[in-house]
Amino acid sequence: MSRYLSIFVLRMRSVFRKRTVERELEKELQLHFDELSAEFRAQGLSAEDAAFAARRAMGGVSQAAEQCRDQRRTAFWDRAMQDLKYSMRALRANPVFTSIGILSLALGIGANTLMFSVVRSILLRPLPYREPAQLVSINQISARMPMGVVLPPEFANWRQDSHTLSGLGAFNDEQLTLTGTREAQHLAGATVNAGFFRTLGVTPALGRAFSPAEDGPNPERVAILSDALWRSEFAADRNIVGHTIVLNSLGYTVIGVLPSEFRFPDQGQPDVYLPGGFSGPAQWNTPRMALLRVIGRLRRGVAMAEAERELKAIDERHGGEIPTPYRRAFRERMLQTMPLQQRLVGDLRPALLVLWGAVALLLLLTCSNLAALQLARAFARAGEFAIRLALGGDRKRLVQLLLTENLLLASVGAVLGVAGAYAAAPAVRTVNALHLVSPKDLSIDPVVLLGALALTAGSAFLFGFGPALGVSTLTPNEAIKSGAKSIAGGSWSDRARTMLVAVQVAFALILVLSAGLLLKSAARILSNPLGMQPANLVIARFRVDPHRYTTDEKTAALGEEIVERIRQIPGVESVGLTNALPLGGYSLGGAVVFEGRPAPPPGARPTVPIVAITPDYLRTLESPILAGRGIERQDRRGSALVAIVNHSFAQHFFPNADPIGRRFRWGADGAPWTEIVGIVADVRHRGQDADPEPEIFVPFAQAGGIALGLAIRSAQPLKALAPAIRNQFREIDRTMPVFNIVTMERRISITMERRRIELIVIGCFSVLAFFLAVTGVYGVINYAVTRRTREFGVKLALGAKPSRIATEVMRRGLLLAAGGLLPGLALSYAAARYLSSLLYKVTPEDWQSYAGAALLLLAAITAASLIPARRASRTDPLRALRWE
Amino acid sequence: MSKPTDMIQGTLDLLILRTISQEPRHGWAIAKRIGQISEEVLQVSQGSLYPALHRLEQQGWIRSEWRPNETGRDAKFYSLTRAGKQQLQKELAQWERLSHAIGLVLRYS
Repeated sequence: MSRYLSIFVLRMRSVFRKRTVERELEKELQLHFDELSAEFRAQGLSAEDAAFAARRAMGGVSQAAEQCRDQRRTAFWDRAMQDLKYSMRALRANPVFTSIGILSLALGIGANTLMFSVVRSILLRPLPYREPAQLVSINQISARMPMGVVLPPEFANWRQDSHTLSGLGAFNDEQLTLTGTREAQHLAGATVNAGFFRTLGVTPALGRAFSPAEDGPNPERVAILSDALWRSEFAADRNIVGHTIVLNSLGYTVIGVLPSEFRFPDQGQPDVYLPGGFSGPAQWNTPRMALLRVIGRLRRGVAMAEAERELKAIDERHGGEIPTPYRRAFRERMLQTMPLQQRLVGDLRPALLVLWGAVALLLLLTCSNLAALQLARAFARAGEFAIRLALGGDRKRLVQLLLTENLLLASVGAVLGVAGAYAAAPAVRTVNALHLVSPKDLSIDPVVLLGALALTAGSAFLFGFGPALGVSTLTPNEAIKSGAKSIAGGSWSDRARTMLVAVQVAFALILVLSAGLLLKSAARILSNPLGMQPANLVIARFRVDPHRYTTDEKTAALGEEIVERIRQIPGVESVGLTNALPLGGYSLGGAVVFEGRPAPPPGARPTVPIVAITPDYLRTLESPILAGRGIERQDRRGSALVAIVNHSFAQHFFPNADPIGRRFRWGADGAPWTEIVGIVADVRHRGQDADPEPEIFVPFAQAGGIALGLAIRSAQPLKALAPAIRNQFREIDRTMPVFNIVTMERRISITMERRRIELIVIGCFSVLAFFLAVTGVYGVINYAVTRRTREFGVKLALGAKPSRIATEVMRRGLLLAAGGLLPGLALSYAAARYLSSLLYKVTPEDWQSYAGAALLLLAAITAASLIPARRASRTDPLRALRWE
Repeated sequence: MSKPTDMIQGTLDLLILRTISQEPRHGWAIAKRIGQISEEVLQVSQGSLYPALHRLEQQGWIRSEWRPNETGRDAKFYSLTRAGKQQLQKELAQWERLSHAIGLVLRYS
């Protein structure tokens, strides 16, 4: 091995310390010469004669030196260096070509690198469990519950009876409040069965997993912590096992801490795991049923279909035990198994593969465009090549030179592209839709870089292949005679290239139009009134423990204290509490009956969301009161029941009348009437792109119930406000967690995430496609102009007007544009219809957008053909005729 | 004796490796040494010596080092590497086999 190392060192030295090596060679040979002449002098010759004799005896010194140099095996390198220098000069001399080439390759290679790393981390990487291929997801789906759900007794039957599965795990979400640490924390928890971790093949890093005894009908109060929680709340204390922590006001003994690389096999990563009581026998007569998601591990050699058949048979065998009410709800349920990997990334898979294919196609088209540009350049240099060959230049050297140039171009593009992919990776990581990707997963790792390297070499070869092939078949004689013609491909390849460019134009139109429609949709959504002023508005969630605040008096007092204390934070203008924050859905609804109107039977009554608020809430949001009044301090417990309704409510239930003063009731039939005293603008609760629905706002003081959200109007930055809010909550009740403190603007942007991603992805693609189409047209027209230089020269010499020549070239460009745009328009319509589910108040027949997209492309293509057209019209007849 | 360039390929390599196997020598000394030992039958010209030395060095069989020679001038001294020693043994064995075989043919045919 050391031999190869020393060879390597020598080679490197020969390449990079060339001057030193040369000097040493000279010195070595000089010594030999001196010794030899000294010997001749010793035989009695004069100094002059001795030197002459030595020179004669030694023979060709420079030949020997050259032979010594050959031994260094650096000829390839030396030549590569020469080619590199020459290529750099050539690329610098042609800035238009160089910048188009580098930019389009950077975009193509960068997009492919990023996409490959996404695909690799989501689709190709095995799940982080022992023998993940054995893991399956087991579900009971129905038309009513397409997401599917399994009940604990069904799970118990499978667990007891199955022979095809070596382990079964069940889990369910659980909201938890951790207290007794620095401040109360709202945690995502999960209840699991005793076999859950064993089934995944995961053992805790500290302590142990749950035992079946702990997971009986009355589960023990034991907990396993995630690594993240252990570090953030317990300072990574290795003695945590055996200690008690307080969750939802109950003490739990910590029995284990999970390894940091553990990942929950579903959306979200719980902080705390508790036994769910899923290890007992099947029990149907329990008051509350957990809704489980189930995973199983196939026994070695068992096929998934076999396990599915067995589980279905188990269900059938125990069918008689199911009580009637469940049986009705279970009708048409179907047991479904699928590989866990598929369940976790299933809906992403086709989308990712399509995107991957699209970026690969883009790179291919990029190469085809660059090939056209390179061909034009090779064409222009055919004379030079022919003379090189005629003068004894090495054909292989010429091809090597061309490939070096391409490789240089591709490498610069690749460096920029990979740098871009690096820069874009953090943004991709934040995409929630890729929920399984933890930050360290999506990285530009060595494998991805290797892929990028292969792409670079591959594309350099692809777009340089045509011209290089042309050069390699060039014969000097013919080339000097007929010049450039000998390099150009036949008319077949010309036509293929033209077709390809037309296809690119069509693609660009489709993508630009799609992006345009999405942009228009986004603009329409953003212009939807929110019913509030999002600037300087901060919202937060908190969680009130119903075991501590048992009566309406207590919750009311708590609410008042929260409002009072938050208002005292410096810079806070107003504060309100609610049970339904904007863009956060609802937590309460009621079936409504109006006074003086016939009451429909229960079940047929309209159900309306009920938003309970404190007096300052709507003022804090700055939601305008359209008529009547808002909720005021005078609307206390015991005073007349009042409500205000939103604009949609008034429109829907009182289309031709004034709702103010009318009365309704919600809840039980004997409930007291509530009077409508005002109308407020529609506040969007489901999202800016969801149409507002009828809502009722009632005062907490009268409706009771528990607030869960807080709105604060303040010009203070969130950074200053959030700790102050936390402090106040700690003062009020150390066991009450406050969380999700965000600005309203941030909240809006989160709800727009999916649309934003769609827009960004399609937008990026449309920019790429647009760029490609324009360079494609430029490439083809430019090549045609280069080939016809002589013809133009003759025409001009014979008196043709330059403007006629320019028009002729332009016509070709516009024809090409039309050839792409016309079929593109038809295809765009199909694409827009396909996209219609993503559009908002924009129809696929939005002709303005079509016209806009087509005109945009037409303008760009016209500009792109203008450059070669100008060149054609300025052809110097003398030079053109002499040129070949 | 014919000129060394006509020698069987590899023979010069063998001679060089053997010559520097005892102690490091520079090019001139190697040529001198081969001449002396062979009683001036084998004359190695610089035209084949130096390319051969550079080849052997680039192949990792020998290494070089600059240090003063007998007259105090800086000279490039060549010595065997560990791999070179093994290579010398291999080539010696091969040479023995070859010369033995040629000897047999000359004696008995």
